[in-house]
Amino acid sequence: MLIALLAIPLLAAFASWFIPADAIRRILLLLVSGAELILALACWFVEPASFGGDLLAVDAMGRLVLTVTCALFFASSVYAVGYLRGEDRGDRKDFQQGLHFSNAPEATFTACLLLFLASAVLVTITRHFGLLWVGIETTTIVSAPLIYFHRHQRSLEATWKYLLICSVGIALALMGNLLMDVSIQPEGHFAVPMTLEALLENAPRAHPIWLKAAFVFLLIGYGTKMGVAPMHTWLPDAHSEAPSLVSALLSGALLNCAFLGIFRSYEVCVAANLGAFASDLLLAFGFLSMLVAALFIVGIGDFKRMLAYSSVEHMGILLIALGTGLEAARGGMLHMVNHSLAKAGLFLLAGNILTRYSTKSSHDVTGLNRVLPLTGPLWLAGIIAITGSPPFALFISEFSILKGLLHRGQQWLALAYLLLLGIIFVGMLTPCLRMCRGKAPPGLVPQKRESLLLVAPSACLLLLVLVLGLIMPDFFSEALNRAAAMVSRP
Amino acid sequence: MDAVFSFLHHCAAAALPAPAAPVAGQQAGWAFASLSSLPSLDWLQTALGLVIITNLCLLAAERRRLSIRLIALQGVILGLLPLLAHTGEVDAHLICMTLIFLGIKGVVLPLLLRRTYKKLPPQLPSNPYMGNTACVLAGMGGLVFSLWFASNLGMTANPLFLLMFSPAITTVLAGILLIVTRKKALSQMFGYLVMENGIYLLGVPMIQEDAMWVELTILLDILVAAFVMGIAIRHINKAFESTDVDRFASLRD
Repeated sequence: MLIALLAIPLLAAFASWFIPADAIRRILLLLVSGAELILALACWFVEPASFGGDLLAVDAMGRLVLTVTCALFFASSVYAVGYLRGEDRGDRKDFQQGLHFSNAPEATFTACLLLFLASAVLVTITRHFGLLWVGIETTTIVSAPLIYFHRHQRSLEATWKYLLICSVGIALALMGNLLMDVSIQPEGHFAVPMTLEALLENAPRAHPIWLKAAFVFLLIGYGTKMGVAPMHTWLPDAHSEAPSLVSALLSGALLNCAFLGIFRSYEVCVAANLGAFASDLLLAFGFLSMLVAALFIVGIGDFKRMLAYSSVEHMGILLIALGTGLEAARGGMLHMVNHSLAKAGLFLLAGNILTRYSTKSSHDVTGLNRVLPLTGPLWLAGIIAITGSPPFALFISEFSILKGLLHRGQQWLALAYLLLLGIIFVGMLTPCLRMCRGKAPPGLVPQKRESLLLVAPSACLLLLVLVLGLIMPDFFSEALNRAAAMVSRP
Repeated sequence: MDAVFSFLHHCAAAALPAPAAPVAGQQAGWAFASLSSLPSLDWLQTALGLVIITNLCLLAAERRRLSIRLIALQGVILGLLPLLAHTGEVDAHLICMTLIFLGIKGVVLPLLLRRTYKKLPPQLPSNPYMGNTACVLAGMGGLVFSLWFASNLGMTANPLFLLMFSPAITTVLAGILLIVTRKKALSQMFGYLVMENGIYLLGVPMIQEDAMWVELTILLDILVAAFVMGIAIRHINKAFESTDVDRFASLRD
């Protein structure tokens, strides 16, 4: 099953280069993403056989990230069918700079999407640190052409920054991997397999200073890819310039993959009794990310950049959850799932707004509820969800993390957390309310019907966030507990 | 150069434990118990010294053609390291892997850089954000820092790792310096590859037969990353009529 999860998108990616008809390629994309989602869901009912020991094996955390990744990819594929219909290769005019540009070939775009899926799946189904690194590095390489789909100067600038900053970050993570291996090597045996099982087994005998150095490199390295401040500088550029469905995948799936890298590293630190050291670092980077996001979100005019900075905030929340303890970690797992669903839904809706209004400025978008009668209300619901308001599940997860901080006796941190959440809530909701209300700009005719392909994926994703906020199925709750327990050893 | 060698040797000697008797069964293959069992220790130290010197030359180099040659030289030295760091019998597998590493690091990557360079129109070297003399001084500062860092981290089970650690960190820092001080996108790519060379250096002591495929996959990933960067640079030149990253000014908050 695990081999199939990897092989299907890989083979489809190569096939898509040779398929001449766009329509067939889009059907292939849909079929592959559907098959991957079914396989990911099957992993909840049937324990998939591991391959090569821990090389390919699924645990509670991996299964959670795998399912979210496949669900988002399916939603994005449905959206892509509608989106790509309107994106031909002809000469186009950039609405921001007025320059002419063309799009990348659709075959390349589809192939890179499928390769992205394969590499993200690899990250989730491996428990080998080397392969995890390979998977994360591959996501960088194959997502760069996706960001550069609209071949204009801004997307190229964003692509270069993304490639360079993330490659350097990932290189530092590789160094962290090597240092971790060194720290675990027992006397007289220089060969420790880089599987999670072997590392956890040998962790209690690890050299503490080398392991601390390894964790710092891993946190900075994977943190760069995750968009953690102050290494986040690529994220707002890449998310705002990429096509919206790519932004949805970057924010919802890619950031989780990098988080998984930090999660695995933290697991080893906890097993080596260095949990306190790692936890302090996680909290420091987490709060810094929230602070940076709060500072930039207030007064930001570009609604796609606003969503990007919101991702920086939520990545900070995930690090805080991980570093706070079992209860918060459980909230963190729930937060990871719901942030991905809500943020991907919002980015897809942002794409609809951008297409209709031809602007990214939240000041120039007015009367959204009238111009786009489905997108408008969903956009507002999504913003309410992502800012952690009830009844959406992000409220529960953010509240659990707050409780975790209070139980740990860190009242000041809890207060800072609440304050930053409050600032971001106001900073995001104010421009979005302005966007939804008021009259439509002159010359913009309200659309009576919107394409279901462009609205249904976001609606389903946001509905899931709402349902998880109202009803928590037992099996899902159990999965969250198991994932959180992996980093909360006594 | 001699000073660098003796400095490295001194550091390795100061940081390493007294040679221990090899553990039975460990002598063969890639593992060994102490540096004294290395038949080519002098060669290894010479190679590490050369890596440090190429770093400093890269930091001083203004012309990109010269930088590509220096990266090729560094790649050849690094490609030979698995052979120099080996203690057991030299078998076909080792030679084969050394040739692959040598081929990618010393031939394919420099050729890729040369191809990208050739496809760009001739451009005058632009002033870096930091002067070349200051860059070299900062590189030497990086060497001192890495030696201090290594001496503070304590012993490792594999003594070769400690020997490699300082040159590796120096190379990584030189790569980062190149990235942050250069204005041309191609020069930033040089920095990325130099940084990766440093990390490869750190990985040499851990190259084992059963984990060789992981090393190879990592190397291939870096090769593809360099390839994608090369394409991006050509697009940058086409869109901005220059590869100067100074022109990137449209994405600001």
